[in-house]
Amino acid sequence: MPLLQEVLRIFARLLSDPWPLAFNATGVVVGIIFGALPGISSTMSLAVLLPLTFAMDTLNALMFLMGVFNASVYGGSIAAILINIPGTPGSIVTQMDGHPMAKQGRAGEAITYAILASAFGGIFGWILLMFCAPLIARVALQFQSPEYAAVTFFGLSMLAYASPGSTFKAFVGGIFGLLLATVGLDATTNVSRFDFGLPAMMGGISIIPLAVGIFGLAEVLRNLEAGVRRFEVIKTITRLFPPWREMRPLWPAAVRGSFIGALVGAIPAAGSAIGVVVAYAQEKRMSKHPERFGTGIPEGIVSPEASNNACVGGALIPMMTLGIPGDSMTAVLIGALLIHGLRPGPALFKDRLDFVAIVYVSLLVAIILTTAIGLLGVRGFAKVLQAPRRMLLTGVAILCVVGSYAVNNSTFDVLVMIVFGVVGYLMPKVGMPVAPVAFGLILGPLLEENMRRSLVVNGTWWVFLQRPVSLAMLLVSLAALVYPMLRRGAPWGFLAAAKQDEPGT
Amino acid sequence: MEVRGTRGDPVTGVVLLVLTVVGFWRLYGNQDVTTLDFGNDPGPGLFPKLLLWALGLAGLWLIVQALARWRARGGEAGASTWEARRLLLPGLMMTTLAGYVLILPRFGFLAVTCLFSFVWILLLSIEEGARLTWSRLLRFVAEAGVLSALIYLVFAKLVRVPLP
Repeated sequence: MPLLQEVLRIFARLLSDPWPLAFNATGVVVGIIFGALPGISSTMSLAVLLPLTFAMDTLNALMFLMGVFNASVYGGSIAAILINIPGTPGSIVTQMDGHPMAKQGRAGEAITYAILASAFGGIFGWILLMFCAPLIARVALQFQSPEYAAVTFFGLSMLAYASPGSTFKAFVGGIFGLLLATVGLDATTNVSRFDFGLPAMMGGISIIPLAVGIFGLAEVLRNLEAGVRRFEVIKTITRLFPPWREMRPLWPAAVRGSFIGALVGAIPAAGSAIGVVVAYAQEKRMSKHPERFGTGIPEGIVSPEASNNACVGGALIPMMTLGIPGDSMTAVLIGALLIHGLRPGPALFKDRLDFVAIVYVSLLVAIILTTAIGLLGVRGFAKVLQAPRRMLLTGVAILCVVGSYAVNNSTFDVLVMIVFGVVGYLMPKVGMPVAPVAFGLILGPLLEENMRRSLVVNGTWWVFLQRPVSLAMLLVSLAALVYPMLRRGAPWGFLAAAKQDEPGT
Repeated sequence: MEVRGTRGDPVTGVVLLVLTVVGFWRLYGNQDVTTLDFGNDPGPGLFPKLLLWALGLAGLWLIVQALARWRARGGEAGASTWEARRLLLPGLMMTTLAGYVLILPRFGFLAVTCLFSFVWILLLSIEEGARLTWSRLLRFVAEAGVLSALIYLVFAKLVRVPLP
């Protein structure tokens, strides 16, 4: 029970020290605002707000970041409901019933459904995290280098499988990220690689400038390219709470959405955008009146909103137990933890229970505060949608510069951020998702170190096939990579695919 | 603007091949990687070599696929939705950001950020179709000043994060 003791100790500290709660509340407010703004994703919010935590201690930093993380996922639903544009990818489905409900004059009720479902899903994901993470970590602690290398490869292949578009291109993006991780001094031999004679390159490419570039600046560039979008904001928010008799039958939808969200979130690299689509489709399939979906029914809001917030806790499971990001937001979060001297992985559950407890407590507090602040500030947050685009994009661009500079006080990092801003802007244009690059950069050192250590200790590549866990992981990885290609008929059927005008995606 | 599939694949393929060639060139040109003895350790060259092979093969595969599609279409180029005009603002953002970063150390954060903010607030207002009047220009100056000061106060004074 040492973990429980740590959790209680953190709660006790919250009672005596107001700052962690204040940082969490600030994170929640900023997270809801950023999440609500169309064109600013949750990942981007986390990436550009990260530098605010550099001078904080671990507790305050995580309190703030978890506040942003959880609240921005909910915040996306405000835009989805009021202007029919998802604020974040996790709210792409909420708009389908949320906006029609708002147009019927029930915008307040739609937002309340979203908040309460988010809270329910958040708690569900948190419980799963509390119970599953220590169990998985206990198993992962038995892993040796071959298993660890195989699990890391598994994480990368799952990312490719779960990414939108082509599995092949997502995997190539992951390999590119792994290659970026080899830039600079090799940790084992101290030999510098791919430094092009530049001393600044010897330190390698940090995850923060890269993440700020591909998730932050790239999004600014896409917004600039998209041009001015005119949308009608539903400004009238009257009754907030729907009658209890309408809310009571929604429990099953919330449970189902949460369950799907937490499971999808726990799959390495599968994000909330996948979770909400699966949850909505499942809810519609199970409904006695599937034809009513899309007309403004509460089930269409509750299920995806419970799902996307359950993803938060789910996504933290692979991050905390294996060091593998659960989604692009946890990839950025890993970058933040590295800045604070913490490398997520099973060893945390042995050596740094205090940190594990901080994650548990900060997420729970974030869920509670998101619900409270979200309900209290519904009308205020709705006004955020009218924020001038000129201020928003300019401010985010400056935050990108400030954020990437603050990591090492280095102008080189800012230039890295700008370069990866362009890379992150161009990659989706050729059908390549950007998240695998960040994942590759995080997983690269883990994969290389464990692969080399396996070879040093065992002297043969066969070791990866001789150990059951490693063999199973590699087989699943292979299946995840090959199955989508077989489904499309590639590689031998790509000519037929070309004739059907399904090029390369 | 999308270029995926039709022209995107061969372009991606060529980029990956160039990356592979440059990577191998740097790796084999690195005497520490090629000549030092690392004992049982396969050395710092093994992992990047595997990745470069994978990238190179992926690049070739994309090019071959694109050629096959081109032949299947009877040699006709696929449709492209490139619109150079839409690249104007993203291109301008990259240029001004690079300039912003380069002049920051000389003139200091507040002054340069104010200038950068003003330029972009102005540009985006013009894009939104705002008519430029003196009062509007003054408002933009004020907005730029408030935005820069806010970021400065939050980062430099409140959370004490070093600014460029």
